[in-house]
Amino acid sequence: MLYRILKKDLLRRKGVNVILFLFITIATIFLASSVNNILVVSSAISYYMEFSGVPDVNFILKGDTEKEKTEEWLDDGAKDVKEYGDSSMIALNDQNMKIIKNGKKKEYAAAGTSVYLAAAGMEYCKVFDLDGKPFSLKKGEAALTRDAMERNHLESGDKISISVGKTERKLTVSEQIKDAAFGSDMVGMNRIIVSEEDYETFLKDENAENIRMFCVMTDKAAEFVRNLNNQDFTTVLSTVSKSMYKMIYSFDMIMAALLILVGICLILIALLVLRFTLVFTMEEEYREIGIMKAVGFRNFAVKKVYLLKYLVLVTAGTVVGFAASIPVSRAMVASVSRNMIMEDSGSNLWVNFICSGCIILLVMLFCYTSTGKLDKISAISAIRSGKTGERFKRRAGIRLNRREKMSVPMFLGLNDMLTHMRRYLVLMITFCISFVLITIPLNTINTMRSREMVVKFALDPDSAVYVRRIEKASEGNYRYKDDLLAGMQRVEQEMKAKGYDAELTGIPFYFLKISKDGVVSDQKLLVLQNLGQNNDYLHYDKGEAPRLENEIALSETVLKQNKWNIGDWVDVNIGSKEKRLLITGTYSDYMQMGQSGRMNPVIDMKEEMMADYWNILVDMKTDKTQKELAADLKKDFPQYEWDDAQSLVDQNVGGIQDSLAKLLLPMTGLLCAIIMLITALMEKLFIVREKGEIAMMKSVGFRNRSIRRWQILRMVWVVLVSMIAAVPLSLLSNRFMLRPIFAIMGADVEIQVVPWQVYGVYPGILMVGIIAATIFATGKVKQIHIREMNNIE
Amino acid sequence: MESLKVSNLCKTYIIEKRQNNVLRNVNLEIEQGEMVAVMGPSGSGKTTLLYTVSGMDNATAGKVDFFGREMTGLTANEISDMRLEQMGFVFQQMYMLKNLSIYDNIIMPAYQTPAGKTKKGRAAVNERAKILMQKLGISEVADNDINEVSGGQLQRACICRSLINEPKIIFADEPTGALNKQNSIEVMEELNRINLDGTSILLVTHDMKVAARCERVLYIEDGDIREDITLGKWQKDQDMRARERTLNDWLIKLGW
Repeated sequence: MLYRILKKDLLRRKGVNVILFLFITIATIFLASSVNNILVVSSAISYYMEFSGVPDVNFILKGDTEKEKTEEWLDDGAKDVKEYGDSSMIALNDQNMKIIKNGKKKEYAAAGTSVYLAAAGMEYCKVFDLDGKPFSLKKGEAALTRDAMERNHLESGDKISISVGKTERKLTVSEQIKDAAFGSDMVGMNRIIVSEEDYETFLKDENAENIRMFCVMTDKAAEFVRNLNNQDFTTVLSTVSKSMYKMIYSFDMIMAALLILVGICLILIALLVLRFTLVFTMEEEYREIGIMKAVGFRNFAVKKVYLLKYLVLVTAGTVVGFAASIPVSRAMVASVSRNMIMEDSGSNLWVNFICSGCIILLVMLFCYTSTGKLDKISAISAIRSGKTGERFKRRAGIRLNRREKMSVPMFLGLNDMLTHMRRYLVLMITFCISFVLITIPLNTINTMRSREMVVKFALDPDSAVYVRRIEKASEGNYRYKDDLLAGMQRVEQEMKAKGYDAELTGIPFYFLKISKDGVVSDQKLLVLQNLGQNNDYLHYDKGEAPRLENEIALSETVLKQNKWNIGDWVDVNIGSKEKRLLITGTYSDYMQMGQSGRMNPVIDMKEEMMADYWNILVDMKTDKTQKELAADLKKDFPQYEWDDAQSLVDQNVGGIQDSLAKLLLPMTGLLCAIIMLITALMEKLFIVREKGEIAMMKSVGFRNRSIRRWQILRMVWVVLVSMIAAVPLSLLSNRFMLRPIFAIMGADVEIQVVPWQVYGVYPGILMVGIIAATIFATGKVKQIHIREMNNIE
Repeated sequence: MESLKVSNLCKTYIIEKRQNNVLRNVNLEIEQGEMVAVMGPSGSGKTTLLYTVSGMDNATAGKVDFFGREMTGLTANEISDMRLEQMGFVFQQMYMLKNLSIYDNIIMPAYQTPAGKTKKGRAAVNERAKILMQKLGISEVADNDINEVSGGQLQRACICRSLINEPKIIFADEPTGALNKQNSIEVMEELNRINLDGTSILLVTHDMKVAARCERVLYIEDGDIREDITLGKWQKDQDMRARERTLNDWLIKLGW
């Protein structure tokens, strides 16, 4: 008998069953493959770090002047150092690298990363070929990372040109490499590997900017970094710990985490739809349930009929989802293995199996609790269809006779929603989730495109354009402030000669040791110094900008971490001297993850070696947008890297804005498709439930069009209520989700809401989708015959 | 003038590839202001006849003229408009919208007509609804939900709804089928009164007492009207027993 009921029930509601099946299947695919991916990636990261010999801490010295001093300290002074090693690299600027295609030289795209030249065969931070095997390079050959090759559209066999000072070599790209320490763009550094012979030739050039990388193995990385900062090494450029690399590679799990989120949303929606269908079916079969009980069926025996149906449906969905998740998992693991070397590149299918099992268990548990209503149905209440004929509250809903202008379909739609709010709750929640989900990427994109974001990266949004590097091909990277100033002056003159009356503001930055009362901060602090007229764009949350020679402003994170306050005096090591500076103000921005300082241009930094310089602000009168001007300047001055504010922000946040903007349309489409599917499903269920009433309306002369309008307008009311409810939810998601995410970069930012997009266009698109789905589903109204009035409860 | 003229009406259903001729060349005329009952054994085609002549179901063949206008050539929308504005319907089960009060259920069809969409029109509808409810004795349950009133009250509310657009004809399918004796009498008295006011009524019934209140009774068997009997206009003080006896004798003769 159970089989007969099951077969009949599965065939009777084909549409609903197919949609539930699809939801479960897709959710299983997403959840199973994503959980698998996260487990695989997290174990692969540790393996890759060990395999590549990534040290617990590496730090880079500019030049070899402090090499011996550093080695002495590592041998004798530094605590808990198990072993260490060092290797040499040459710093390259963008003009040193060219791509040779069809005999012509083209610019090499470094995407804002610092590029170094290194010789093959290093002891630490090793590089491997794509199969994870060591390789050797012959003279005239070079190996590049996948990111660099893809960015520059290079393939094996292509030629590149590297020049260091007067030494220039044409090299053939022979290998694509996996480089754990320098392979990810997010590290901000990239390596080109050449043969030892070629490397020695480059190194011999007098203009070669030698960089020394020390790799230290220690169990106490944080303490080691603190000790290193306490030393008076002036040439230390940066310090990176293994945990930082691990964190960067964990970004490979972001997509999997997002898919898990989507999977959970799908499961939630599936559960809501399932509950609605279950309650609807039980209400529809009220009498049958009562009769089954009256003839002696136990509660569980009745429940079994319903549970069995959903067990079959859910099991079928998860089995198909599990099968489909296998190739998806393999593809995801394959994409991870493009970036990393894995011990075992196979995906562990047990994870998928367990995930699928958990989904069955969760859904069935939910079904069981949802069928709890069955226990309360007695034979008598079933005969009365659950109604007692008593009412103790005022009737819900509105009165038709009090509406002087409202059309009957519109009234019926509104009244339905008001009298049976709970019935439409599933739809409201689904629509609300969709509206909020669409606001998240929109608000993220708009925030990333905002002026505030540009200022958070210490740039003036009102500048005409920005220039990244201004060194000539024959010059190495600028080391001192005066080099930079001279370079800026030269560029100003060059621009003037071509009719651009521009003023440049350079922002060199230094890593300085800062202490207060003998207590040193955890790491060397990045301190910026604006060299030029344009300074007023920088905001200060408290206090004011440093104006005198003995003043400094520190970011809020630095003050909080060190428990310093405005008005405190701090000791700053500049060159070989220690200067006492007064904290005059505090701010929050994204420089060095929110940990930075700002100095006045009057402070003499001639003796201090720059770590680098930030993008140079170019101010001039122009009618052109930054993008247009950057394009023009690229033509006039191809030797420099011109950019607009948006591209600079994008480079610094890893191109997320661009990816999100590209994802927005497919995501809207996907979301629209999902809610259209749910709307069509629910509307069909409503029509089944209201078959009798529709037939009755037809009998008294209502046209099909009027009845469909009633159904459509009801959905419009539901959408409107959901849209209104989504507004505060969206603001909450901004406050408690987006702001903390942005804060990870080091500062609080005001989430930008563009009302016409967030509350107009995009919800409008979803609304059009919902209405289209309702119009489609209400086509069924035409098929209802007046004879079906008997279906009225 | 004939309010309804049916010529050679046929209705055929196909069930599991088998043809079932429910109506076979039915011919029928109902004069304006006439009250006609259709009787016959179960499955004889009574309800199908009612549904087909009222445009609720399509005829397989034949012609139906409603006040001189041929219905069989009309579009579905034109038939819907005709049902809304010129016809009233009373069914055995009291079909109403669950989410509306009794009063709103009654006025709903009137608000849907072109006249009922204006403020003035709606005021007139409300006035008419109140008079009708008063006449049928259900004013006190106007604001009640449909499951808060008795079957008799609900059927009277259905009659109110059928009259709200001042139809030319009322089609009633077993209007007392779900009511007790007292409620049946009350409902039939209302229908008689409406008929006396000039509205034509075509009703289907199994109940001889109900049929005895009609001016003419048709007997349908195997999809065709076999015979009819004219009992004359019902009068309030008339001897109902004599009408019932006449009808009974006629029905026995027909093998009822």
